[in-house]
Amino acid sequence: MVGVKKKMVTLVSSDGVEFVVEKRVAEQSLFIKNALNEGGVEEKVMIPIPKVTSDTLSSVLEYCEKHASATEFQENEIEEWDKEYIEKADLDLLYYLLQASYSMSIMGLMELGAKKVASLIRGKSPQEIRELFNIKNDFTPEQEEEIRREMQWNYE
Amino acid sequence: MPSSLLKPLSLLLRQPPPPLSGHDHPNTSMNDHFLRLPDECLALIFQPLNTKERNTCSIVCRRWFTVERQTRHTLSLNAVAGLRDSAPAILSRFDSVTKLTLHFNRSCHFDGIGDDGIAVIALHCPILAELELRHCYLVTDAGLRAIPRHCTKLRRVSLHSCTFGAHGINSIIQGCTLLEELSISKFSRFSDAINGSKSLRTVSLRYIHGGRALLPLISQSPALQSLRIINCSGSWDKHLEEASVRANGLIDVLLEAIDVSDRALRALSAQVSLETLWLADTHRCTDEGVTAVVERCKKLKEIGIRKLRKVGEKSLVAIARRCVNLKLLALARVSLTGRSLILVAENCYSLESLLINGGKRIGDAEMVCVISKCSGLRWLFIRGCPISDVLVEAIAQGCPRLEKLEIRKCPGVTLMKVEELRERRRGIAIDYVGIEEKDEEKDGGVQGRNEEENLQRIRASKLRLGFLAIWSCIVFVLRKLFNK
Repeated sequence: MVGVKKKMVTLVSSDGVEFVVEKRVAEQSLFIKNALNEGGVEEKVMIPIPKVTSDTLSSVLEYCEKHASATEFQENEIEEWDKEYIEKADLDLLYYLLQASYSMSIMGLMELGAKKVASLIRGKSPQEIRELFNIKNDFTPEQEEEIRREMQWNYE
Repeated sequence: MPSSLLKPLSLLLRQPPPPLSGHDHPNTSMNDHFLRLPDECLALIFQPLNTKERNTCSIVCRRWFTVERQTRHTLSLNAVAGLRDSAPAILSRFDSVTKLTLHFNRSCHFDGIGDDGIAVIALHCPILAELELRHCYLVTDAGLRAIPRHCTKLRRVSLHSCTFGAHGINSIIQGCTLLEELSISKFSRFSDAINGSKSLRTVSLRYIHGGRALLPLISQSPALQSLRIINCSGSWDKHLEEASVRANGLIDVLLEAIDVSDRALRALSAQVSLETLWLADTHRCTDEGVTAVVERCKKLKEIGIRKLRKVGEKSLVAIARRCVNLKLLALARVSLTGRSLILVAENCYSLESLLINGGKRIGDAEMVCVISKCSGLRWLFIRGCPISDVLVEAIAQGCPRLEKLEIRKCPGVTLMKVEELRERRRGIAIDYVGIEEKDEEKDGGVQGRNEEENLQRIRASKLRLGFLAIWSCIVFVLRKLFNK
């Protein structure tokens, strides 16, 4: 790769901030990869990323950058990095990362985020989960009781 | 289950999930937007959770309930008699279930599920691909016949410790034309033969008495690719010979604690596509048999040998000569020599995993030589060998691709040195068990170990009972004699 000029792509977040990144980093997102393929190979491509704010996008790009150069690292080094990366994210960022990875089609990040949320859910009661994510219980007590009753059939 | 309560739930099943925009507390907290995650994300969140945790999620709110039920693919149910009446409701709630386990807990006070229950369940699971029955002691051959009638898409069936016989199993084998994988474990002697089928690719048999009934199963399945036989009584030489005649695409063979000799191995050597071979506790197998397989099966990628007293240097020399593509070599309690191990290391360039358990003659010199030759090594397991810190140092400096290192019960290796290695090579996951620590013996891949241990425990307790019985008899007789 030495001597070859790296292809750059400009991504625009929903709040209008521009990010200039290498093409190979941006292509971690299938959404961008497809957009690039459709638009043909041009210099200075601008791609708007709707629904993703600059704060989230910078965090997403941090992930993409690491994973674009994943071949340089050993598998468990990447795992370790992933773990630290997602550990830093608070609940809000976690939500935005999930939403962004969904709209930008970054499977790896979506799975990583989902796993983190799953680990937050683990061991909690339904009420604790509702409180954590601020979800309103829209079941009638009767329905809730009914679902609980069905659970008894599960083998543990 | 009272039918009055079924109503609200069944209504819920038909209702579309509530609209997301209708969320009614917009900015009390930033967190509330979790409700607005796309279904795909939510499904992905549920994926790593176990049944209990998923159940908890399903009562959080309606949307979670809906997404959770639509994405539940595996279900494990308590196979008691009462399940018959509740099964329709449960199975229509989880209508995407493709893997179902019916598990009867033997310590529970209720009766197990019967034939009628199995019929109801089969009727409500038309898309089932995997089915497992465990301890369903009231299910008979007649009950099993309902399964192929309704579940035509079954690909994997696993039957564990039930009381039905060969006829029921045959009806599944013949009726489910897509069936690829069959595993049968802990059954008492079958009175009739179990048939094979054209679609079967994987057969695994564990803890079954009387091998003769199983002969057609493995000799009449021409598409067989994977065969695992663990702890089954009877002589298996003939079975494997016949299987080798009919099936010519065997890829994966595992034989553990069964009665086979070199005759079977010679027959297996005709399987040129063989990639993995695991032999454990098959005492009659010798170097000659292993060499025969190794000589002819050039695609071998994995070889595991455990507790075979008559296998040693000759086999290793043959492996070194023939198995250029070998990726994994596991040797546990085999009479190893350093010379042959080095020979393997010199010739098998692509070796990625090496497991050595109990090699008294494998010291630092041999292992240093091995790791210098096998630069592609990713996993190294050493247990009970006279190696020392010298090897650890060599690993620190060499082994560029090593990812996992396990050193267990090696008296010469100090914890300090291992800690130092851990600091220097953060990329390696290290598992160290010192000489004084307790260590469960691990054989890296040979399965059925736990079951074997359990069986040994049962055998030991039976033995104890036997002694007790004999002792009480003697006491009884002596007393009678004294009385006279």
